[in-house]
Amino acid sequence: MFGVMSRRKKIEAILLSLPAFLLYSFIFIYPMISVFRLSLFKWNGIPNSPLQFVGIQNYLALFADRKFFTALTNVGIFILSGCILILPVAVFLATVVQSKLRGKRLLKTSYFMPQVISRTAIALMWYFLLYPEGGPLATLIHGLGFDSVNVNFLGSQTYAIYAITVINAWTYAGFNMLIFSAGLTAIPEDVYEAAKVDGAKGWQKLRYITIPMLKSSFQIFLLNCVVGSITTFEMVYVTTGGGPGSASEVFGTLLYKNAFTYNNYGYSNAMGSFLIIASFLASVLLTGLFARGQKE
Amino acid sequence: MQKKIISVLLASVLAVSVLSGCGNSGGDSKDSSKKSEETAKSEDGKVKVRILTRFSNPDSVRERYFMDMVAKFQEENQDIELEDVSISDEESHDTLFKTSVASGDPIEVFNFLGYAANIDYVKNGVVTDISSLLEEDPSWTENYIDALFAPVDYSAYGIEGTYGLPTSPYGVCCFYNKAIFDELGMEMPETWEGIEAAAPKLIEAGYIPMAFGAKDNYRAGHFLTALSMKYYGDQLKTDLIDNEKAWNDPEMLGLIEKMQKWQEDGLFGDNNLAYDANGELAKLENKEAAIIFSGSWNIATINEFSNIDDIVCKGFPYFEEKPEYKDEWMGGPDDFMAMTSQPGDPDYDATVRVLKFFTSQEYYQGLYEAQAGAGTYPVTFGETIQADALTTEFNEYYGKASNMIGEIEQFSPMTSLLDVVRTEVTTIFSGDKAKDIADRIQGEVDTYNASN
Repeated sequence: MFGVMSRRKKIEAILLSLPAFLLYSFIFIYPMISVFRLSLFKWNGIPNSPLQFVGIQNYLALFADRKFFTALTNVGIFILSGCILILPVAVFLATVVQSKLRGKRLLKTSYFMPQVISRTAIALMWYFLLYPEGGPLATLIHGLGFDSVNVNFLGSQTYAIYAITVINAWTYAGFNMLIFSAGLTAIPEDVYEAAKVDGAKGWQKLRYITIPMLKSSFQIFLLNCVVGSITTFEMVYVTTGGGPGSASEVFGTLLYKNAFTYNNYGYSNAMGSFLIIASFLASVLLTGLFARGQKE
Repeated sequence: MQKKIISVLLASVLAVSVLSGCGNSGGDSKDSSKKSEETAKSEDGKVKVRILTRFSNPDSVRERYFMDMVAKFQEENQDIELEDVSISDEESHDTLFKTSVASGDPIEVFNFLGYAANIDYVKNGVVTDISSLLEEDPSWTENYIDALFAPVDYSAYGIEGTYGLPTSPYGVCCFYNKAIFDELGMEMPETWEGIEAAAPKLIEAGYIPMAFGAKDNYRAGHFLTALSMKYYGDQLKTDLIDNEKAWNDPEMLGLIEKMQKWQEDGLFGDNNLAYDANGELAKLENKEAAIIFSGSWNIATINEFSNIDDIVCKGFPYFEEKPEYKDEWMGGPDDFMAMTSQPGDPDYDATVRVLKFFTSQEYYQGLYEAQAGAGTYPVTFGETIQADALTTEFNEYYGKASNMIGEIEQFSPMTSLLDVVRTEVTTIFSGDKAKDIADRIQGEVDTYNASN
């Protein structure tokens, strides 16, 4: 990077980067090191209480915890639902707002709206939409004559996590629409025109031009989806609190409970470390995969 | 290639950055709980003191009274800036306090829960021993009921001192909507056998026999303890805490099975996970529920019901087959006003003034009058107010109590047990089986025992 620079320029570059590097280290690197360090101790969150070194005991406990595997499964469901629900909807919406449709600006704003609303407000809104006694969805379903259907989705061990993924999809589809919309804008119009001259039809244009040229948008989407799923918290916490029981637990809610309800800070930091490593690995893997695909 | 490596690293750093907030740098900051003069003072030079209680709901008479008293204190004490950070929700309340402790800036006056489950706060000097303050000013607590101090007495663990003042003695009881029973020509059942017999008729008439707002998971914890007292007295609690019995042994399992059966029979109604304790009260007032199991803390609120004449208070149902435990209660002292400022802290004197104000005889006298004598108090009064019907009925049962305990899990030093039991038992309402629930609770206890 600095190979072709003169010595003076190198020093200048380093000095100019230093404040940002120091700030970044202070804000991000130091807390991360603290997370790893505290994960090796048993600590109850009381400053005067001694830290008890337990080595990798917290990690062993983590991998023996059934709730950890519930959370892992739920994160998997989140990632899958991102690909099944959010991705096609976001691409479709991006196509709509990129079309020559009248009023597309209004549509774009409407689709993006959930992104500017607080996640807690969204979760509460959906909580009342899905309220089983007199909630709009329950009223609709029962009004259609399906009286025997129990619409208590958030109170069901089986359906709670799926209900949350729907809320999540509704929230993030608009944001991802923007990513794909930007990708679509970057595709030159003359490529489509050349394809048209060559006799390419709608599906062929999509298959051979749009999708390949949206690769970087897909990469950003997947990275956001995976890391966002691993670190998700507020949507689950407000709607179900990780329940019923531990049916909709995710890493974020488990981490929170272990720290602030159970005073089990060492274990909680082990989970935090796992989250950091998992997100890091997911990012490296995904970026690597896309980079390899580009090379091929 | 170099460009690719940089892009991979940048993407990774981005992902990691999102997570960096998970860290906590505390733990080794030995003196972090000591306040500096600057942090103890607000911008205009006043001494700043925070107070954290569970009183933030203006619809509750008791909580509204507290809020009025915060304003009164502020008016009378211009040199102190009293910041009320109270929050009704128990979990949010606990989290707020724990976060303040972990960050080395514990809230000065707070609602301490006492019992073994919170011994770490006492052992590590977070909660201040106020025994010397009590000795200096005997008139402060002369009317307090001595027995209520037991959960903040840690002498059994070798820790001397007094770590809080009781604020809310309570008893878990039931409120009945008598109009429903009159309408159906039924007697109000006081035993579980009676409730089981009455349930089909109530359900058929469209009423919930006993509303159970499981959205608040403490409801399940209260219910289980109250039930165990009526079936085993406090022996089961002692055996569980001493690890003489397991949570999945036949005794506790049998109780959870009873709850499961009642849930399956419709005794608790539907959609329990969708409403909370306030929802229970609403169902009682709206004539949807025939009975709610609740507690003395709600008497003043229920007294404001439009149909108060229809509401009757009775003890938690007992078992005909276990008459010897009829008067065993879940109840007693709960919630203690405590402080964290230590002698020598710049805000110590101000904190003591706040603590004294909110635990004074005058404070409770005002509350007693505001609630028109309703409810229960940690102090005795010189002149008694002619209590309302509900309080009189409650006291009739409460006065007969032969034994009283707090929630079973509070007696365990395993801090997480309270939430574990409450959360797991709540899963009855989403179709879980009693055996699985009991096994999971015991699994958590075993894990804790293995590592301690």
